Amino acid sequence: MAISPVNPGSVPLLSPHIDGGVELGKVAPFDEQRDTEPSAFEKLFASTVASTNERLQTADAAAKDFASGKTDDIHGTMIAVTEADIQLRLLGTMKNKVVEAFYELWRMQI
Amino acid sequence: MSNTLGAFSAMDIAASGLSAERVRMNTIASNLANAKTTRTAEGGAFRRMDPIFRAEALDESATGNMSGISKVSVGRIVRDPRQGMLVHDPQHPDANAQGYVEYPNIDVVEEMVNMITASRAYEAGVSSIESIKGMASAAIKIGG
Repeated sequence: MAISPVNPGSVPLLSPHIDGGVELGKVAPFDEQRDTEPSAFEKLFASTVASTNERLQTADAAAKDFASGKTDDIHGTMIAVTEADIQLRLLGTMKNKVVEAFYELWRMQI
Repeated sequence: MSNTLGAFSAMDIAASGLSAERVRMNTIASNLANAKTTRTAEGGAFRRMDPIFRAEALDESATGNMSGISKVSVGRIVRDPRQGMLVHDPQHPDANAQGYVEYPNIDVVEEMVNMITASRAYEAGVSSIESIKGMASAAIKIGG
C-alpha cells in the first residue's frame, strides 16, 4: 500500500500564536440568537477569561522585552509571569468546577 | 492597578520595594567603585551618594484605611555632605596648594553594611511576593 505524505496544510495548527489561528485576547461573544440572558456565573466566567487573557499577554510582552534586552527588570518580568500563572490556574480551577457540575447532572438518575 | 483591594496589589507594592532596593544597590556599587576617586566632572573628590525613599500612594482615589497603603519610590539621590579624608601627598596630581589630596567621604566598611541591608531588604521583598503567591495558590485550592 502506498504511503501518502502528510500535507502540512491539512493539519490544524494548535498554537494560538501562529498563522492567526485563535487570536489571544479575543473572547467569543455571547450567542446573540438565544433567548435567555447569560447567567451571572457565565458573565463572571467570561470576564475571568478576558482578564486572564490580558494578564497572559502582559506576561508574554514582559518575557519578550526581557529576552530581547529591551528591559532588564528581572523581578518585574517574573512578577508579570507569576500573576499570569496564578490567574490561569484560577481559571483552570473554575473550569474544572463547571465540568464537574455538568457531569454531576449528567449522571443524575431520572 | 486601579483597585486598592486587587488580588495583585501586594505584588505591585513588593515590586516597588524591589526596584527601590535595586537603586540603593546601584548607588552602593557606585560608592564602592569610586571609594578612591579623586577627580570628578564637577571637580574635587567623589562624594558618597545616598538614595532617599519616599512613599507613593498605591491608589490616589482610595479613602479611609486604604489611603495609607503605599508603594515606595526613590525620591532623589543626595550627595553626602561629610568632609572627605585629607591625605598629605604633594606628588599627587590632584593635590591642593598645601599638598593635601582630598579622598572621597566613603567608608568601605559602612558601604558593606549598607550593601548587606539592601540585599536582605530585597530578599524580604521576594519573600513577601512568595507568600502572596502561596496565599493565592491556597485560595485556589478551596473546595478542590
